[in-house]
Amino acid sequence: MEIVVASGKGGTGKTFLSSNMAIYLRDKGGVVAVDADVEAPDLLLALGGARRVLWREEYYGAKQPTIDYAKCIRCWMCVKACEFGALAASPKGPVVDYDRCEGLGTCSLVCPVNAIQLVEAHTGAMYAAESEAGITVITGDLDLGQGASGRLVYELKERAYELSRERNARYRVVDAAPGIGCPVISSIAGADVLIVVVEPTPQSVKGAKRLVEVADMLRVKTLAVVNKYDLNPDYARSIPEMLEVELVGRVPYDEAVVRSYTLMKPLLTYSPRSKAAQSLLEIFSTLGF
Amino acid sequence: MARERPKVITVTGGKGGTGKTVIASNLAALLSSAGLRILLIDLDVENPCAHTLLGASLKVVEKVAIFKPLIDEKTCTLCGECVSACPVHALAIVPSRKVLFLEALCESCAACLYVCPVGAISRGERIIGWIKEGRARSVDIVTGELKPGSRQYHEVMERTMDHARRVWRRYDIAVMDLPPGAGRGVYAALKLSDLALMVTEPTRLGLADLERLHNLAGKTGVKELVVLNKYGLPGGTAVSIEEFVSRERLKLVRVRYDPELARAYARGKLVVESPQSPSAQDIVKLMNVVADVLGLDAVKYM
Repeated sequence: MEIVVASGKGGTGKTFLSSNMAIYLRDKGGVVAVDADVEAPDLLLALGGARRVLWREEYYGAKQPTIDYAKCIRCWMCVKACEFGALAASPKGPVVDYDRCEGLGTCSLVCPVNAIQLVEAHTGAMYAAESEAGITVITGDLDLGQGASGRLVYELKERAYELSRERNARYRVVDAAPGIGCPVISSIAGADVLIVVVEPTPQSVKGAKRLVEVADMLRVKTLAVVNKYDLNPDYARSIPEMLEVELVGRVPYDEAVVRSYTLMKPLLTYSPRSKAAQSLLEIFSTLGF
Repeated sequence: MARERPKVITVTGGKGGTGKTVIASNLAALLSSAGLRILLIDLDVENPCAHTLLGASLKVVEKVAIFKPLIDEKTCTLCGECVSACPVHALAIVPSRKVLFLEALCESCAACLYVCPVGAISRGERIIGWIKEGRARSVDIVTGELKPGSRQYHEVMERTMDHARRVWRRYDIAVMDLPPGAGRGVYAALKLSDLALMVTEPTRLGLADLERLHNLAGKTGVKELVVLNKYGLPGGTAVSIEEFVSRERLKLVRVRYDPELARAYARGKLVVESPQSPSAQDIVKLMNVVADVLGLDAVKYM
């Protein structure tokens, strides 16, 4: 079973929920955790950091055009054909703006003298590690400033699927990136259930609504958890109605959560009797794990 | 005096929820009340919120559209050239019937358009988002918004920056509010900026993501200023961030953890409207540091 934790807006408690969910599921049939926030991967850290790395694989997720200026006849076909404005004319020939290039190769296709080759470029890495808290985490790490994170997330989920089958682990928990873009769509696609983490603020609800819309398009079942509900209890109560999503539980604001991060221990291990931990346990049991 | 561009301040932070939008919108309002012409550019296209804090309503000024093929079945000879040219397998042939277009897979490269030997493919468009504008508290706002279900957040960010650049010479300062992360769009925005405010919080995860962002900013040569938001958060770990800042010789401004700020945020308000609150005082300090770093003589110290 694949459970995705996402939020639409950043900083609402995705990694908090997914790290503790992984701890809980470890003893309920086994779990592989996936950090799909490849621009800011923190799940391993929330689970205590890496005790040992199981494997690491470099990721070549982009193709980059390289131009042979000796062959180039300056016809500017490539500049005109690029849909993303990633090529500009210059005295020596076309120049590529790699920030805008999508690596799809139309420039190379239209070049009449075969002066443009596509070269595979390193955009990140994937690795699996066993965390100090005893959870196997598959993490992506996008090179700084890189794109194509959706494809990387897809690869991570494939690896997690293989690993969970090898180990007979019943669950996979995917900690998604904030937002609703490419990596989040890859995270949600094909999952059994999506859990949206919402805080009782208009900004968080706005992001969650956009996320629910995406999940509906992908036909993934969606449930909501309201985090820090007691910061604005009245507003929190109206969230399921605003999102038109079933509420699976609420977690109160609790200083123990911040402390658990400071000590790099998941809350369920660090302070299982804290009120936030108790709410988490209720949520996990409601989910029927 | 004619100028090419305003001073550009980017508000970024790596981790989500550290307070980027709060800092960006409060700072924009303060700079505006100090008499500067401010353009706020909301690049958090997956969930743009800056206008809600400023109380602006937005209207669409530009749609963000990308290529999709329109296939004329009458002209098409089913030769299959487009199918082999498509790098993402968004085109398929139903034998002796038609070419099938799978829009969800299309990456808009337009290769099909160029390889079709009989001109059966023409240019269609797919809308992936919108650029919107609004104004509140004398701050002009440009916002990019990704259409839910579309993957191309990066293209919407780029087009929003293009749009903003066409108008920004009319302003003294442009403030860009970025999404979380340290990806391609963040990198592009940092390269356009004079100063990056790196908003973090006193947690381990805040530090980890700040380190990544600092490494990314280092590749662009932008000036960096760390904003340690939620300073004094119970249970937090400000020390490790302070150590990092001094090790890397960065400038640091602290914005105190303040329930008043959280309340204002939850109501969709600016905390600088409550000038007595600790966080509002700290944001005024932040503005003065920003003015110093950028050499903004126009700002009358408040």
